[in-house]
Amino acid sequence: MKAYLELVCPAGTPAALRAAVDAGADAVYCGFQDCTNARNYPGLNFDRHELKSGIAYAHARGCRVFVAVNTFARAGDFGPWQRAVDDAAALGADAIIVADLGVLDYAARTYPKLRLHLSVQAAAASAFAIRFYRETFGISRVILPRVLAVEEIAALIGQTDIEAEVFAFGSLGTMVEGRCYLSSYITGRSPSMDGVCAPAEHVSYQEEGNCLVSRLGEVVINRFGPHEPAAYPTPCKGRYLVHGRPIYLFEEPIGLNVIPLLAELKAAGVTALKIEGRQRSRAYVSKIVGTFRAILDSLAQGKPLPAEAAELAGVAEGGRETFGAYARGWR
Amino acid sequence: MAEAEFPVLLVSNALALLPAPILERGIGLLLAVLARKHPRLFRTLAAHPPCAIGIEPIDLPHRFVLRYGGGFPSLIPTGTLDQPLNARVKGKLESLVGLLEGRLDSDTLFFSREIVITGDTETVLSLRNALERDSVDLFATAMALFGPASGLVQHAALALERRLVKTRRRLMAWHEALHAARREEASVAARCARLEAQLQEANARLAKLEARLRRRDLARDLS
Amino acid sequence: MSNPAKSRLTLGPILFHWPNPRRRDFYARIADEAPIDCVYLGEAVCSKRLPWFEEDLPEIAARLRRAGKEVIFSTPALITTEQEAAGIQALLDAGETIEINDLACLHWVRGKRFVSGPLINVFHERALDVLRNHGARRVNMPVELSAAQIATLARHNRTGETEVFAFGRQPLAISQRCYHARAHNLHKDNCQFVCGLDADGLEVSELSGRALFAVNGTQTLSHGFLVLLDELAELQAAGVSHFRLSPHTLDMVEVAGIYRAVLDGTCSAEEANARLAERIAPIPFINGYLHARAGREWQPARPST
Repeated sequence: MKAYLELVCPAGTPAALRAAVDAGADAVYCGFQDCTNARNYPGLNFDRHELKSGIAYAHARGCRVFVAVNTFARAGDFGPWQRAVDDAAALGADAIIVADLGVLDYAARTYPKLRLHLSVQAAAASAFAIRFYRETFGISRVILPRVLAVEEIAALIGQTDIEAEVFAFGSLGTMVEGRCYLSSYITGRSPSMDGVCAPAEHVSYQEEGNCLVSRLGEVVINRFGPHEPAAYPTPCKGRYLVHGRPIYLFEEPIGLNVIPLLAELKAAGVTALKIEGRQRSRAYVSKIVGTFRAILDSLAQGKPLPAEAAELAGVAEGGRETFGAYARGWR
Repeated sequence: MAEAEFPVLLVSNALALLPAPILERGIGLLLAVLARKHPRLFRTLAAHPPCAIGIEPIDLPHRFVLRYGGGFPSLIPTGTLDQPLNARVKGKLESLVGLLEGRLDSDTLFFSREIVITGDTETVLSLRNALERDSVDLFATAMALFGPASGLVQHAALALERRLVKTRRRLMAWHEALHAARREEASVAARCARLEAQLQEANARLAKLEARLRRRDLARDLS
Repeated sequence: MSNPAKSRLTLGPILFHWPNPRRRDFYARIADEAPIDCVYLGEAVCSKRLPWFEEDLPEIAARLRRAGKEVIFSTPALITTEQEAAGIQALLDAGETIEINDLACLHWVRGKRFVSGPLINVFHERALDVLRNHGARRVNMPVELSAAQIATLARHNRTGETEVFAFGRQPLAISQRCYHARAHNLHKDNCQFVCGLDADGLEVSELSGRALFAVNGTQTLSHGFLVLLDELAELQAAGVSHFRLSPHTLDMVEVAGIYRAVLDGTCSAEEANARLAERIAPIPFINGYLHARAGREWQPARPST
C-alpha cells in the first residue's frame, strides 16, 4: 500500500491556484489560455506570466504544478501545442498532462527529462494501453478514465506498477473521455481539438412559464421545474425523450464524490486523487481542497473522518453526488 | 427570522428611498475607486465587446444595468429592464454580492436556483471569470469611500454579511436533503448490482450454450 | 494524388446487435452482389455480444474472400477485460489483419500490419506518423474532421491508404455504461440484450420532440444519416482511397451500388442523393463535420454551374 495519497487540485485562475495551495494541495494543475487544454472557457486559464508567478508561489510552499496540454493537435496546426509544451518546460512545470499521440511524441523526444502524465482524455483503460504509452513515450503517471470500478483499478495498478491518479470529486463525464463528439455534433466546436465541451457562446437559459429551459445551440438539453436544481447543458447530462418518456438517458446532472471509498482507493494502490473543476470558483476550490486535506490527514493518521466530509456535498454539481463507475452498478 | 429580516428591510428601504440620481453618483464613485484597486479587472472589462447585463436583486425595488466594453463601465439604477440586454442575472441581493466578491460559489448559486441567468451565457461566464481573478471587496471599498460614519453603508454591510452566511447554510441544507435521498437509492442499487452480477454470469453462460446448440441443430438439419 | 478510379468501397462492421440469421443473409448478399472491396467483420461496440455470433465468423470470412473481398477483423472500441485481450491475440495469432479501435491494441500488433479504425483519435500528422511507425497500413479519419483537415492528413499519410466514413449513422461516443439497458430500466450486467430490439439504433429525442441521437448499447450515434455523396469527388482528389459504408437495415447492396456509380462517374451525386433519400426519409441526411460545421447539420451541394 502506498503510504501517502497525493491531492491534485484544479486552478482555473491564478486566484484559484493560490486558494488551492493555501488550502493544502500537494499539486495543482492548470492550462494556458487557448485550445491546448481541455477547459478552454472564456476568461479562464493562465498567460505565460501568470503561470510563471503561479509556479513560483506554489514551489515556495512545497506544492507542485502540472500543466495540462491535453487536447488533440489539429491537422496542419501544431504550433499552439508545441509552444504550450515548450513554455511549460521552460517555466519549470513539474509535469505536463498530455493525451495526443503527436504531442506525447514531441514532448518525449524534445524534453526527455520532463515528466509526462497521461491525461484522462487519452482514456487508457487497460494495462495494455498503459504499457503501450509507457514503453513508447515513457509516461510516469496515468490519470485513469472514469469508467473503471475500484477492483479493476487495483488489478490495473498491480499489473503495471504505474503511478495512478483517479478522479475523486467533481463533474463526472459518462462517455469515454477524449472520444466524445456529442458537443461538436450540436455546436460544431470540438472538445477534443478546441478544448471546450458545451461552449458558453452556444448555451442559453430561458424562463418559460414556471420552468427554466436550457439549450445548447438550438437543441433543448433540459427543462427544470420550479424547485428542481438546475444544471449546465452538457449534452451527456441532458434529459431526453426515449419511448416518449423524459429521462436522463446518459447521466443525471450529478457530481462525483468518492470520500466513502477513499480507504479502498488507497488500498488499491492509487498514488493521487484528482479534484475536477478548473471552471469553478476560488470559493469552491478553497472549500473542497481544505476539506480533502483534513480528510486525507485523518485517514493517514487512522482517525475517523472529520465532520466537514459531510458538508462538502453542498457544492457538487446539481447538488447531488454519485460514486460513478467506481461502484459496479453504475454501468 | 424577524431579527434577521429587520436590517435587510432597513437596507432595502434605505436603498429604495434613495433617489436614483444620488444612487447613481454613489455607484459611479465606487466604480472609480474599484478601477484604481483592480486595474487588471477593468482592463479585461474594457477589452470585452460592448455589452449590457441586467441585474435584478429580487429584494430591492431597483434594477440595474451594467455596461462595459469599450469605455469605462457603468452601473445604472433603473425602474424596469425593458431595454435590449445581452443577459440578465436575477437573485437575492446577498447572492449577487457574494457572486461579485467571489465569496459564494457561482455554480452552486446557479444549480440551486438562488440566482437565475438568462440570455447570453458566455458574457456572464467571462464576467464571472474576470471577477474570479481579483478579490473585489465591495463593502470594504464602499465603507472606505463613504466613511465608517455612513450609517447606511454600515447597516447594509452588516445585514448583507449576516445574510451571506445564511445563504451559505441554506445551500448546505438544500444539498443535504438531496444527498440523504441519494444515499438510500445507492444502497438499494448496490444490492441490485450484486444480484445482477450473479444473474449476468448465468446469462452469459446460457447465451454461449444456446448459440452452440443452434449451430449444432443447424448442422444436423443440413446433413 | 490517388487515381480516383482506384477508390475502394469498404463495409464497416455491423455496429448493431442483429440476430444471426440476419447477419448470415446480410453477408451472403454482400458476398454475391455488392460492389464492395473490403469488409470489416466483428464486434466494435460491446464484447458481450460476441458469443452470439463469433462461431459464424470464419465461415462468413471465407465466403467473402471467395467472392474476392478483403476481410479485416474489427476490434472493440474500449478494451478493459482479459477476454477482450485474448480475442485480439487470437486474431493476430491466426494471421488476420485487425482494425484497432482502442490504442491498447498497439501493445499486441508490434511488427504486424493493422488498420487504424474511425474511433482512434488521429487529428494531426504527428499522430499519424506514430501509428504508421507502429505498423498502420491504412488509417481511418475520425468522423469529426473537416474536408480540409482530411486533405491535410491524407496528403501526409505515408501508410498509403486513407479511409473516410461515408455512409450511415455517425458514431459519436462510446461509454462503459449501457444506455439501451438504462432506457429499459436494466443494468448492463443483466442487459437481456435489449439492444437487439433496435436494428438501426434506438431513437433519442429532445424534450421538444425532435429526434437527435440514436443509441446502440454503449454507443451513441447521430440520428441523421451521414451521406457524403456530394463530397466524394473532392475527397478522392484530396487523396482519400477508401470510403466506408456502415451497415443498416436498408438495402446495403443498393447503397453500395449508388456509391460505386458516383465514384466511377456513371451517376451524378444529385441523382444518387435523390435515390438514397427515397430509402432513408423521413430521417434527415447530415454532413456538417465535413464542412467544418456542427455534425448534425446538412449542407446541400452548391448548384453546379
